[in-house]
Amino acid sequence: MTPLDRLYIGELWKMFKRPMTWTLGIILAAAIVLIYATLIATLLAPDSVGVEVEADPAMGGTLQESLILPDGLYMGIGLVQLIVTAMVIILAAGMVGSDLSWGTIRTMLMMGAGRTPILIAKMLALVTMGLLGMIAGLLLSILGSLVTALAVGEGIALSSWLTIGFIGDAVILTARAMIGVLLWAAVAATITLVSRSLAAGIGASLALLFLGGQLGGMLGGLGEVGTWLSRTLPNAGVDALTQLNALTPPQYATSDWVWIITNIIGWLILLAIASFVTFRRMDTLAAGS
Amino acid sequence: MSSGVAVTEPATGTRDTDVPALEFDGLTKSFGEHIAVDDLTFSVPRGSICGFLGPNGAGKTTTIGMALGLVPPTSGTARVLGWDVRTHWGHVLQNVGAMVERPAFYPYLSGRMNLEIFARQAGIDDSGRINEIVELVGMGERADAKFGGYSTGMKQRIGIAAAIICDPEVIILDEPTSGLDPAGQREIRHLIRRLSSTGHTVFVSSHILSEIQEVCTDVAIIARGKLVAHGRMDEILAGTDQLLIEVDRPDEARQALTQRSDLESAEIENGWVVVEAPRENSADINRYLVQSGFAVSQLRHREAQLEERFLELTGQPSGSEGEDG
Amino acid sequence: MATAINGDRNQSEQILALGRQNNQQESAIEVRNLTKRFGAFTAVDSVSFDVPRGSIYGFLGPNGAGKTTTLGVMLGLIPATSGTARILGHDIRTHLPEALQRTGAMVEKPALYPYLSGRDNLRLWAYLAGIDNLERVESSLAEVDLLQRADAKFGSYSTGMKQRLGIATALLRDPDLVILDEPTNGLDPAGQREIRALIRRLAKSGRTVILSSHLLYEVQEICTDVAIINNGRLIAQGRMEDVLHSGDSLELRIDRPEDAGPFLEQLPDVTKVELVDDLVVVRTDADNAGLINRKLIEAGFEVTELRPRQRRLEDQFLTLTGTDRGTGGAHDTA
Repeated sequence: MTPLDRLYIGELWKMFKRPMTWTLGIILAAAIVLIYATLIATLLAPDSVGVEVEADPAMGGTLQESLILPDGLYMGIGLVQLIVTAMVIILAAGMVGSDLSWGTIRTMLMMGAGRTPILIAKMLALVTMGLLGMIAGLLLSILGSLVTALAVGEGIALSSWLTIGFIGDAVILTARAMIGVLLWAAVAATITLVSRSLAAGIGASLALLFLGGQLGGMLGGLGEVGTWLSRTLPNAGVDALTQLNALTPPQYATSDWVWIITNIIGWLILLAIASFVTFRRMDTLAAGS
Repeated sequence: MSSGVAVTEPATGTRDTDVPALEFDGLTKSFGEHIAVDDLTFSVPRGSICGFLGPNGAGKTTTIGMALGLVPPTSGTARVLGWDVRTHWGHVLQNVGAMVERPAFYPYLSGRMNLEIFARQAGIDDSGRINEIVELVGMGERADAKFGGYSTGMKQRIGIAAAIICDPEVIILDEPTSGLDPAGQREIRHLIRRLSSTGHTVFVSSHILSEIQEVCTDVAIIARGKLVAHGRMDEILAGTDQLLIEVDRPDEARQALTQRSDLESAEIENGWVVVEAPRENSADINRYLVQSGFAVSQLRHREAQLEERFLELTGQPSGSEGEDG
Repeated sequence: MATAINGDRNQSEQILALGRQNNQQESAIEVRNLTKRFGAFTAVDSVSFDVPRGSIYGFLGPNGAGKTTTLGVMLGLIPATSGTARILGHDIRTHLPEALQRTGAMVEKPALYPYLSGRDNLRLWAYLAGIDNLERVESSLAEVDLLQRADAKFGSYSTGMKQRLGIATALLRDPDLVILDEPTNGLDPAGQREIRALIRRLAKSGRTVILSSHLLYEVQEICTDVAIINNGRLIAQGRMEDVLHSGDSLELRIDRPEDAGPFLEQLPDVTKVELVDDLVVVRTDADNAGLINRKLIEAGFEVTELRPRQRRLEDQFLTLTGTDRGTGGAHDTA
């Protein structure tokens, strides 16, 4: 049997060697740079339509304040989490779907890899990639905030924001974001595995990622039952968790925590069962043709 | 096969019956520094089944492309039924049907629909002809299934069907049996023979030399863009025959045989006596042994194999398969 | 792992070969009542067979007969509906990793990463298989003559090169059992011959090879045993010579076949004489060949060929599978 660590390193190595991974990385970096450049340009434009004075209610301050550290961390992490989640969905579908369509899953099995360890290794590799993406993205967004500060003439003033508290916040926010990334990776991998289609895995997961909120809102409009229904959606738990990453986070009651945790853990277990059962019974020969 | 299905005689629109079906004259194609086809001169007699052989990358596909007018030659001429491909492309198109590389059709239409579209483009509007061709290439009921769902074998069949639907006199097939199972391979061999027996010329490339040896009357072999052999199959295979003899006392028999003057050699190989001698002497050799008191229990000719000749001619390693490996 | 030995490679090869031969009496593969259904469709229908150790086993069947499914089930790539197989002594239901440990296979098509080079593909597989000696990667590449193109991407390979790399992958673990599905697909004649030589080398060193191929002349040439599957059922199995042998008949080429017929019929132990094409076919015990030859010569006939009647594997295959779709008419007119 191939040990799990070899499978895990193998998956990482494959992603490292695969051009698609680097393309996604470049898109991640470019997206962040572009967004910050746009925002800075907006701030600097002399007659921008009053954004400077108008407070952003979600951010709890002006655009300039929400961009500059330490508050900039919250906007940065929200932005990076969304991009990284989309990237990880594509990576997850690619990681599962390619092995099925190329038939390389057969070769892995023939080399002594067990089916369950293969899935676990892929999941671990995805979380690793997600974490790397989060860290790289966060560093870029901090850089963006610093450039913003310089651009508006505020100066970097390290001591005013680079505190133990800030670092602790960054770690906690990243950890919360990673739970979301993990769940979305599981969603994309499972859909790809069950449908045996990379396109279905990416399409359905991204649709759910971007439209799940609206769907929940619509259901919520249907009263008590609708609210409870909306809480069963796979995005509901992680969305609620992500809200805590805002500058002014909501205060959850114990009953809220119950459904949030149940939703997240429930979906993770459900997706894990669906993938493991599907994969254990899968005809890996037909997968390649 | 029902007698209702037959290949019609091709319309002979040619000027002269002595003209070869295909004729290459100093045909050369270079891609930059690389010479893909190098001064190729040979002709394919009308009515023959000519095997066109060569290792991968020898220039087969480029040559076929030039014969069809798809690839312009750097120098030299390709002629089809006497017409220069470059100046009389219209005539060439009318008289040549080809299946080259992987056949491409609309995946969302049935095989029959695809053939109908193909035939209509070629100016044929005859559903009887389509039925006939579908039957001829062995597509059967699968003709009404979508092309996208076809197996390799079915794709090959529809490709051949499209090549012969206009009943061209000259038919060029590139690897027609690749991906086919044994029954499919045999069907294609029969089809080629049938086309030949109704006056068509078939020019066929293949890596499966056993089928070429079985079905072809002529053969042309190229290597690194150059013609290395061309002629009738029996001429290509001709050489000294080996006679394999199973006899009760092989060593003594070999000794006895060395007395004869008509043998080029006599060896012992895995318990057999192997002699090289003209084929017509084999009965005499047999009688000689029997009258010398040996019990001859097997006497067989080792037939020349096209594969051996091919590998010799194309200068590729042939010793790699020896018993000592 | 044998490859870890850095000493006298030849000697270790010999010892391995000896070890392999010592298990000769045992079968490399025992398949028992293996069945695979896809819904209502039975792809493999209660198939049982044994593959002798050290044999080159031809595994044949028309397209869609269930060959690849059978191989897939045997290798644990597809779960069986019922029945089982023992590979190198290990039951695939309970000991799949052990069964695959000494097995190398290329089923259906070479399944490798297009964005990795040939060498990187093999390195990855070696790493997953627990082989840390990269020499093994190089020797596998050398075995299939791919060293020169080893650093090009698999996706840029020709069909033949992909095929070779697939075979190299199957050989990576220095297996005792090698399963190759259409290995010569897309190879030119020299390439085909190299693969046949490779298969012979593998068998000679005591390994067992299962070869699935549509090229029956190549199967007839190199296989020692053969099994034919049709519509999911095993319809023939045995030594190649037995499958090709069609009863006790002799084939003779004689100068005056019409006169030879009546003469031969008078001989003792001759039960039937037929004229097939231009050959005289005599139904008799094969041991009589020498005697019959002598009698014919003494009676003044010219005997130019004399051999036990053998069928071509292709004819035998098409008869057995009933897939000879009766196009023989054209044959006669040719």
